[in-house]
Amino acid sequence: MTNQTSPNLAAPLPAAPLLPAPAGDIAAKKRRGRWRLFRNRSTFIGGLIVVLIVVVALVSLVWTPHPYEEQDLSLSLLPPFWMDGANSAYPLGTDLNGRDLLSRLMVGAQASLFVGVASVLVGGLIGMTLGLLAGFFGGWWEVLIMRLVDIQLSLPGVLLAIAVLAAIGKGLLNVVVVLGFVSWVQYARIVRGSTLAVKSQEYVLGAKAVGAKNTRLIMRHILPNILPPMLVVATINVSSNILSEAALSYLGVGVNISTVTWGGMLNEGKTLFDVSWWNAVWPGLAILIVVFGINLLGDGLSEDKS
Amino acid sequence: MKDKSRQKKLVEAQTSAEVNLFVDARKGLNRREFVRLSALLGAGVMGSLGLAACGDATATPAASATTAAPAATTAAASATTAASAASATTAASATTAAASATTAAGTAAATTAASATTAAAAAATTAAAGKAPSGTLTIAQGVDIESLDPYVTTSGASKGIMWTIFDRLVIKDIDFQIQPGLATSWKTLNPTTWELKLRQGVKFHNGEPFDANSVKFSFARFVDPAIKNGYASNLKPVTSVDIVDDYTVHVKTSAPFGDFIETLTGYVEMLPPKAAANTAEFLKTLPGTGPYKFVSWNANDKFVVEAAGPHWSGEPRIKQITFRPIPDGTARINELKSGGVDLITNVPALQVKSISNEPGIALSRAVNSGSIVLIPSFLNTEVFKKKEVRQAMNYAIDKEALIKVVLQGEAVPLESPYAKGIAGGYVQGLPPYKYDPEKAKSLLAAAGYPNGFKFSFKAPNGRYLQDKQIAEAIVGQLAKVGITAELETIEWSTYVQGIIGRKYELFFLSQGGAPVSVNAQTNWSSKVKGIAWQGYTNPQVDELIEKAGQTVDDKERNALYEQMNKLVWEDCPWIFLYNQQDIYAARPKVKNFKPTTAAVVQLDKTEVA
Amino acid sequence: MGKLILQRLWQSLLVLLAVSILSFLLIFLTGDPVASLVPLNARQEDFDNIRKQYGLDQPIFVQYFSFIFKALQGDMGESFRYRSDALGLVLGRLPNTFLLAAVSLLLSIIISLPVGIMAARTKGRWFDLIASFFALIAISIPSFWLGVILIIIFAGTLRWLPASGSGSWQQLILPSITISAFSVGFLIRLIRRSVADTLQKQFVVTARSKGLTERTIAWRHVLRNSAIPIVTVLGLQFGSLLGGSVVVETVFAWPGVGWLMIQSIEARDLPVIRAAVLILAVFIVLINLVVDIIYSMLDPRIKLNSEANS
Repeated sequence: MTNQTSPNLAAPLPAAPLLPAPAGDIAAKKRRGRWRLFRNRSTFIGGLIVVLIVVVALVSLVWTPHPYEEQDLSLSLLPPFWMDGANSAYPLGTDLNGRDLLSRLMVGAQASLFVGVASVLVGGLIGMTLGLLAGFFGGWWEVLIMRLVDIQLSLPGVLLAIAVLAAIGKGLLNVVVVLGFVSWVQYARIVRGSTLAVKSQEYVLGAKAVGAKNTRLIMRHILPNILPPMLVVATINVSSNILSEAALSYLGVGVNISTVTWGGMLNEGKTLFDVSWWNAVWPGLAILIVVFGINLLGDGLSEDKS
Repeated sequence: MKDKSRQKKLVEAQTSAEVNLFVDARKGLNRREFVRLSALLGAGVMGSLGLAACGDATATPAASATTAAPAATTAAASATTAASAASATTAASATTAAASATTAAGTAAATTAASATTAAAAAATTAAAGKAPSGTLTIAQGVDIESLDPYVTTSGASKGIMWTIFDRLVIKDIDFQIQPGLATSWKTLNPTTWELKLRQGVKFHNGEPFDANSVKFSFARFVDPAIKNGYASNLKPVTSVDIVDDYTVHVKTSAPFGDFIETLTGYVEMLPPKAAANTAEFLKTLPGTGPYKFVSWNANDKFVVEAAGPHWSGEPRIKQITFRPIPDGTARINELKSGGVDLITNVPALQVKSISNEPGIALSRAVNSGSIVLIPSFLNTEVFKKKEVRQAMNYAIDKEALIKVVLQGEAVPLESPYAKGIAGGYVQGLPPYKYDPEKAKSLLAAAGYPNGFKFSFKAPNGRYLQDKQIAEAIVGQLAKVGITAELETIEWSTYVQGIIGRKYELFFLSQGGAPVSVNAQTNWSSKVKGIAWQGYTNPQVDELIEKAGQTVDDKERNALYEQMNKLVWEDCPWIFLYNQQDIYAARPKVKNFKPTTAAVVQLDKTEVA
Repeated sequence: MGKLILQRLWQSLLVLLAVSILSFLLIFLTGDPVASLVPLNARQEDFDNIRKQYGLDQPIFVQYFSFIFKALQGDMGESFRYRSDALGLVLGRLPNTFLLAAVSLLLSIIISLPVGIMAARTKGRWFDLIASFFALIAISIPSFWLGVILIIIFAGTLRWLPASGSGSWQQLILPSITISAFSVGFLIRLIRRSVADTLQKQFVVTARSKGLTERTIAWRHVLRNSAIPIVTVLGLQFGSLLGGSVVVETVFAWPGVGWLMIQSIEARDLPVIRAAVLILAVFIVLINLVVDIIYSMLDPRIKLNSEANS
């Protein structure tokens, strides 16, 4: 294997530690100092947003301002609190069926977070296993799995999702499974690459030479090395899977309506844009904020690592 | 072996590059490679742009329609046509020389000569008729035309397009009254023989004359299994079409066929026997006898028709009409606002407000003849077999509130199984199912369910106006009388499979509508059993439907249907909800547009300024 | 090299075969297509007739082999819905999808390249902060939501641009902005990062010490050295743009393959779905193949190793 960590071919010195530039030294330091601040800040803000949403989701399990399914047609389309005709009991307004939007948004956080995290776990697990198999054992395993990757990449994800959901029915868990299956390829490729790189490292070769078992090699040497890059990709994928769930619900094939999701609320809200913009804006904003937070956190994590 | 290892390296290198993307990027490349790479990328982008550009030009004759002169479009369309006598009507439609010249170059001299004379004659009649068709009209509907084959299209959106090109023997005018079409008169000679007198001097756009032979051919094609017509059995009673002379046919039926004329207004367009003998070729040119002729079609993009010269109906009044599908309601409305289209259908009820303030934009409404109802299954449940339960549910649902709040007033509650204005379907003065939860509760108690019951309720999402929210509100209202409905919304095509597979306990659907004959049979007759049949069996209803179907006299037949409807209303195999309001919006240039209850765009007297 | 490409081609064919079988099975899972072809007030006998005419009453493997047999002769069947050649329908929509993907990609590059580089050079300062913030917003926004909002603002309120359709350059603007929002954000972040990494490299430091101007360093050293990951992502991005604009195409009524596919799925128009899946698969496989070949040409290590092996 070519050495993954080898220095840049164009660089004059191989793997030399970064020498401080003679000129602009102070400026560079200053720049890095400021950068450090920002880096921490993005971890902090991203983390804060994510924690906040998690707390909201947890709280909604036991308490919401109103029961989220309680409808009252006489309270249909109440505006948010600062507008004329608002009802202070419904601070963010109500939907067409007169249900409290705040309560529904809170409950919606559960589904979005669950789908985001669980689908990444499913996809990550499948991808990691197959990637490890391909990278570690090579040979037929590798040919087979990499062709599987090709096949998966050549099938449009939407078709896959709709077909599978049509076959196994709607539901939160089914969406999780489908999104997991659609996204395993990414992990498999990364894990395989990293495995190949680690496998050819001297200490692994050494361990192998002294007769270490495969499982031990994988657990002790390979896994710890591939986890960090996996974590970064996984964080980004949590957010993209939340967006995918929203898109599926938007197309009407996602979860059942008894499960409140932001995507489903958005689907409903877009037809109400003219009579009540808040029905379209709140769920969109909620998705935007949570995805933003997770991405920011992912950024921070990966910067910290490097 | 060597290749394998090489291959392996290659894949590894690729993967490592990907790892770099996410983890860190420490690669470099020399100048030569950089230049090569950027050139490749640039070439890729430019190449696909080029491909897209030229592909677009070749694949889309319609694209030029809006920009270039109409003559050019016609030429393009005719070029694809093999024996194109269509140029005759083109010439008449005032685009003249250029079009026929191009066609002449490509076709046999004889055909061209023939079309030239027709053209002259047609032009003369146009002049005599007075006003020549003028202006262009672009109509945006929610869905694309389903098919180019008139015998396969069923939706209102598709029929609106088809009926600009094709005529039927009998039509329903804009006020839903039966009027002569290509048949000028009809009568029964005996209970099983209909005589049709045909309109004379009508020609198809390809020059074929319309005569008795066309009728015979069209009827045969309608029921031909290879055509895969979903309504083929509507003409099942017809045993033969006898040609008496060029303009008279005798239609023999196996039993008295009372719904014959009604059936003819629905789906039986008249096709040219020669051109339609080969379906694939026919779909390329689509010659009909209608006021407009086919110019071009591009899936999901545009369907263009053009005035075809004088027509017995007084149409065409517009020179060129373009139909465009725009599935998203918001996009459709905003396209109208920005002036990209002139007329839109299916304005979502909740978005009416955004265009009602718009200066110059005119809204028009028509009550859709389809009845929005809940259909309980008699096959999968016991509880719905009890009439009291079904009546209780009719009383438990507050239709007025649903309409006022969820549909923003854009619907009319059902007062009879069929919408107002449907002959034989609408019965005046039936006792209404007014919202009355107390009565519902006592009916439930009488049926032996004082504490209500539980069932699963399926509804589509996005098929009908606010269907999802209506279904949710219904669940809430039923809960108030103790009935627990477990709602699931299902994507349409899966939903339909469930209905046809008879899997649901209660489902949400638009049924009924015109013609009463076809729908009463498929909905309620346990002898016919339509594909969405719910398992309802009522011998009295069966008998009335059968009798009506064989009654030739309009008055008598409608009386029988009304009798059936009274029974059905009282027995309520359905939970009757409402008729949706179809809302149309038009820019100021569209004059005299009038919507129909069949959700079919009929242009009739519509003109563009 | 030639052998290698041949081998890859052979494997690609196998992949396509697998895709054809898989997509066939998947579509089969979605249920009976006749249900979507027949109006609900039709009668059972007409329903049964249509099933029979399309051969849908046959066992699935019989259906598959008759499909494959015809497909190998270039006949992908007749669309259930439109009654015209399925392959022709898909190929007719392909240029539109290509156009949209290419314009979106171009737009992404034009915006993200200068912004990304500038952000990297001003890392930690206000420009970088703002650029990073907007890049993050861009990748966090649901594209269909953005599409609807753009329509309401630019077509409905301001009346500057058409809301839907294709055929003129104006109609291209809103959908391509909607689609490229994500790639702009993604690329800005990537470029910023890889350029920033390169800026810390030894040779840049050396170049600085040689007294070269910042501009020269940026263009001659930094950009060149940051190119590989960027170009890789661009390739992947283009691939995903081809298949990934389904929702946006539908919102903007853009007559491309994505909308055709979603509509065909909704109508269970099996021949069109099969044709669309296979055509897209062919393109994706081709892109992969080209990427592989470019890699083998670019990466000196591969040449070195393969030569050492031979």
